[in-house]
Amino acid sequence: MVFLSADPLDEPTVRRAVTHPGAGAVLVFHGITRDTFQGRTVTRLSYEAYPGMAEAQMQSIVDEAADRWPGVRVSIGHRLGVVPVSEPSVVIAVSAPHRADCYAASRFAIDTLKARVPIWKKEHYADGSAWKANAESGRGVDAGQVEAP
Amino acid sequence: MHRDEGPPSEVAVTILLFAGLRERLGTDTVERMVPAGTTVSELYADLFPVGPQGRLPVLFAMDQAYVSGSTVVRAGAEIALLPPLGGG
Repeated sequence: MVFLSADPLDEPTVRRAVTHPGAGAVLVFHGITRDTFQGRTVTRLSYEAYPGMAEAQMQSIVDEAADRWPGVRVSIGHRLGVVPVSEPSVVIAVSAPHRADCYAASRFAIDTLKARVPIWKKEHYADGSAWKANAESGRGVDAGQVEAP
Repeated sequence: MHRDEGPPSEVAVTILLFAGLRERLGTDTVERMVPAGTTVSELYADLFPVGPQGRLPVLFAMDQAYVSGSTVVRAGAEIALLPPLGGG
């Protein structure tokens, strides 16, 4: 399951999408909005997406993880609009038969999301705002070929 | 055979702008007629002439799939100019 949501993310909904009797390990990653960036106080954050393409890229991460690690299931929810500080902007649930693949797939999912899912973040400060880019942005996206970072 | 019309000299494209690029132009959608053979990076250069700080590196998508800057636009295509991503 992948989705974008203007409402707060419901962690159990994301987690239940990957839980099944064959899953010996489940990890849930929460990406949380922070209150500071390089010493500046962030009052709030807001996210926007390219609808359609964002979900398609999220689904490709789910599918690639399933191909790469047998038995792995991934579910991703990303919030849009204003996200107050200390709330999750993204929740990624991963299940696997065993923990090693679960950790690897969880890391793969968030790293790849940051590299190629078309979503943007704006940080708002007391005295202005700025769009913040991920260090991973565009990694693995080259010449029409999209590959895992 | 009709030979009255050759290949179209211009094609219609829809260009979607996001984040800082949207704010700079004050719109999220631009409809354009461009010469056949125009590449997506040429579209970007046309919409955003280089300023003193140079041009923001962007990713390109055509019909919601990533493409390289040298990709020639298709008639009727939805082109997206994607500034550096910040999701997660």
